[in-house]
Amino acid sequence: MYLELLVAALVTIGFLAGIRLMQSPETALWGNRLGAASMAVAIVLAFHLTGIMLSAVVYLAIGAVVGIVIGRKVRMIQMPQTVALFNGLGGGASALVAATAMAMEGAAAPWVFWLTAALALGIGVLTFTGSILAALKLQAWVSQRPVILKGHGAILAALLLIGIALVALLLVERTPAYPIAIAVVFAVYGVLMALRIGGADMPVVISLLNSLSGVAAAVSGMAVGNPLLTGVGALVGVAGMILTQVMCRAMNRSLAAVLSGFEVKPTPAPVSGSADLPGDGRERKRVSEDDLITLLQQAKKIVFVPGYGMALAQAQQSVRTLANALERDGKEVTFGIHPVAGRMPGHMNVLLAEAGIKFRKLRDMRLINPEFSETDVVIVVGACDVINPAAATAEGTPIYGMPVLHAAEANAVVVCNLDEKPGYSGVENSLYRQEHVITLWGDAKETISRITNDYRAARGTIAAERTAGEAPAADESAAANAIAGALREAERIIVVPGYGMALARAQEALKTLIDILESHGKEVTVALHPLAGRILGHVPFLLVDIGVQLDKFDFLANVNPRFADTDVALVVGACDITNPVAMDPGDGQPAPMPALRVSEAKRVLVCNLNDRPGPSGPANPLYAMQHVTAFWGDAAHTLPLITERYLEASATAKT
Amino acid sequence: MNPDFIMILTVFVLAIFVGFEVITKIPPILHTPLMSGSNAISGITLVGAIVAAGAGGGVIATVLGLLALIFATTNVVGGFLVTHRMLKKFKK
Repeated sequence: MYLELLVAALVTIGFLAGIRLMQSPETALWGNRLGAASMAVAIVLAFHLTGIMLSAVVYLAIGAVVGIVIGRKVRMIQMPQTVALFNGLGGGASALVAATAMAMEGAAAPWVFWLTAALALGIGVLTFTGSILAALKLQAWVSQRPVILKGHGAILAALLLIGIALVALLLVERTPAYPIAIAVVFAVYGVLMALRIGGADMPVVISLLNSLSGVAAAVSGMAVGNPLLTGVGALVGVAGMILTQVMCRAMNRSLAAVLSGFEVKPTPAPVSGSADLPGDGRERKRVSEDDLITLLQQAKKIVFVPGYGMALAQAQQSVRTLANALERDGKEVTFGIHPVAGRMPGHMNVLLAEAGIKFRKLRDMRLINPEFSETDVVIVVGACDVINPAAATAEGTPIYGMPVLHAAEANAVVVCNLDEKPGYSGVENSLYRQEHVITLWGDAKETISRITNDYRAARGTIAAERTAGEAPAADESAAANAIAGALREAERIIVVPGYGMALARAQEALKTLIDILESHGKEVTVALHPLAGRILGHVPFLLVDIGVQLDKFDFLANVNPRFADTDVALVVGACDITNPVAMDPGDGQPAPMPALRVSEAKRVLVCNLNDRPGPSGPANPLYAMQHVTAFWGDAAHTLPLITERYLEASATAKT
Repeated sequence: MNPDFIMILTVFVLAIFVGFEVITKIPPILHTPLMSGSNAISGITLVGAIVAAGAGGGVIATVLGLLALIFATTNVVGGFLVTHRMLKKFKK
C-alpha cells in the first residue's frame, strides 16, 4: 500500500513539474511530455491495483485510437473546438465514474460518498453537455449567436435549485431515480448555459468549463476514495479558474455577467477627434491611404495587432509575409496581443506561432501598451473592441473600463478590418475617425497581401535607383534579369516545384513571386507531379501550408496538355519529373515514368541548384534546349533576386 | 467522517494552493497550451475509470465504467497530442 501511495505522490509531482515547465516556451514541450509520462505511470499503477482486465485494455485502446485520430487530424485553426470537445469528454468520464461507483455501492454507503458522487455526476454532466455545445458553436455547426430564452436566467437558477434539492433528496432516500434526475437536470443546465454564450465570450466559457472538468475529476476522486484524482483534478480546476479570471478581467466583466449573456446594442462612440487621445497631446500628421507605403518605408518600429478577424480571414500567413518583408529592411516588428482576442485564451499566439512567427515577437497587453507611444506604425488586423479608445471614455457602454491596447497612441495606425461595423460589444470604434488612422476595409488577407506587394514594388523602385551597392555577381545578375524579363512578357505561367524547393526552403520565396505575378494579372498554375518530394503529396503540402490556394494546383494528367500553350514554365528545384527522356527514352524502350511536359512551353525557366541529374540518373536534356534559361543556385537566394529584378523592371516600365 | 476522506480533502486543498502558485506564473503566450495540457491532465479520471471498470459490479456498472474508459482515454491521448502539436510551433 505504501508503494502505491509513493507512486501516486510521484505522479502528482510529475504533473506539477510538467505544468511548471510550461512557464517558458523553451521548456513547455518537455512539460507536456512529463505530463504524458506521469499519466502513463498512473495508468500502470491503476492496472496494478485492479489486475489487468482484457475488456478494460480493449476500451482503453479504442479511446487511444480515437484520441490519436482526432488529435492528428484537426487543424490549428480548429483548436478551440477541439479543446472544448476533449474537455467535454473528460467531464463526461468523471460523471460516468461517479455513476459507476453509485451503481456498485449499496444504499448503506456513508452520506459523504453519496454527496460527493452526486456532485461529481452533476458537475461532470454539466461540463459534458456545455462543452459539446460550445464545440458545436465554435465549429459553426450550431449558430454562434447567443440564444437567449425568455426568462433564461430564472430557468437556470431554478434548475440549479432543483439540482441541489435532488442531491439532498438522494442523501435521504437512496434510489436510482435521483441520480438519473440529477444527470438530466444538470445536462439541461449545461446546454442552457452554453446556449446564450456568443462568440467573443467563448474564451471565458471554455476556461470555465476547463476548470469544471477538473473539479468534476477532483470530486469524483473524493467519491471513489482516490487521492490522485482529487489532487490532479484540483490542479486542473485551479488552472481553469485562473484563466477564467484573466479572461474576465480582460473583458472588464464579471463571470456572472458573461454567463448571463448580453444583447448587442449598437452604441455610438462618444464624440472624438484626435484631440481626446488618452494621456498625450502629441501632434500627429493627418495621413491618407496614399501615404501608407511611405509610412512603412520610414517606420522603424511597427506593431501588428491581430484580432479574431485575422483568424476568420485566415490572414496569418499574409501577415507573416508582410512582417518578414518589413524585418528584412531592418525594421523592428512585434505583435501586440490582447488576452481576449480570439475564441480561447492565447488563441492569437497559437495562430501566429503556427504561421511561423517566433514567440519572442509576441507581446501581451501589459508589455506592449507602454511601447505604443514610441511606435511608428500600428497595423491592426481584424481587431476592433480590443483597440477601441472609447473603452476609457464611453461610460455606460459594455466596454467602458475594459483594458484595451493603446494602439491609438502610435504615430500612425493602419486598420485592416473587414468593415467599419462595431465589434462584438456593439460600441462604435472612435479610432477609425481619427486623423492619423488609415482604414482599409475588406478581407484582411487580400488587404495585407496588397500592402506587401506595394511595399515590395516601392522597394524595387528604390533598388533600381540605387547606383552602387552590393551588386550581385554579373552572371547572376544577367540570369536574374533574363528570367525576370521572360516573366514580365508572359501571360500564362505554370510553376513546377520539386523536392529541391523543399531542400532550399524556398517555398515562401516562391509564394511571394507567385502572389506578385498574380497581382499583375498573370494566370499562374502550380503543376504537381505525384513523385515530387519525399512523401506522396509532399510539395503540395509545403505550399498549402504557407497559404497557396488549392485551386491553383493542377495535376500531372490535367496539366500536361496545357504546357503547349503556356508562355513560361518556371521550374523550381525539379529535375527528373521534368526530364523529356523519362517519357521517351528512345530505342523503342518503354517510358520509365510519366513526366511533366515542361519542354513544350514557349519558354522554360529553371531555378535548380545545379545542372546535375536527379536521383533517377539520366541527364536532363531540357537544360540544353534553345528555349530554356537556367539560373543555377540555391532557390532561396535566386527566387528573391528574380522577384526583385522583376519588380524593378515593372517599376521602371511604369515611369 | 472517516480519516480517508479527511486525507483526501487535505490533498484537495493543498493541490489548490500549490497549483495556484505554479499556474499564475505561466505567461499569456502559453495560455492555450496550458489549457489543452491541463485538459489532458484532467483525464486522470481515467484512473478512476480503470478501477471502476475492473471492480466487477453489475452490468450497468460495467457498461458505465467502460464508457468512462473510452471518454477518458480519448481526452488524455488527444489532449496531450494537440498540446504537443501546438507547443512544437512555438519557436524561438
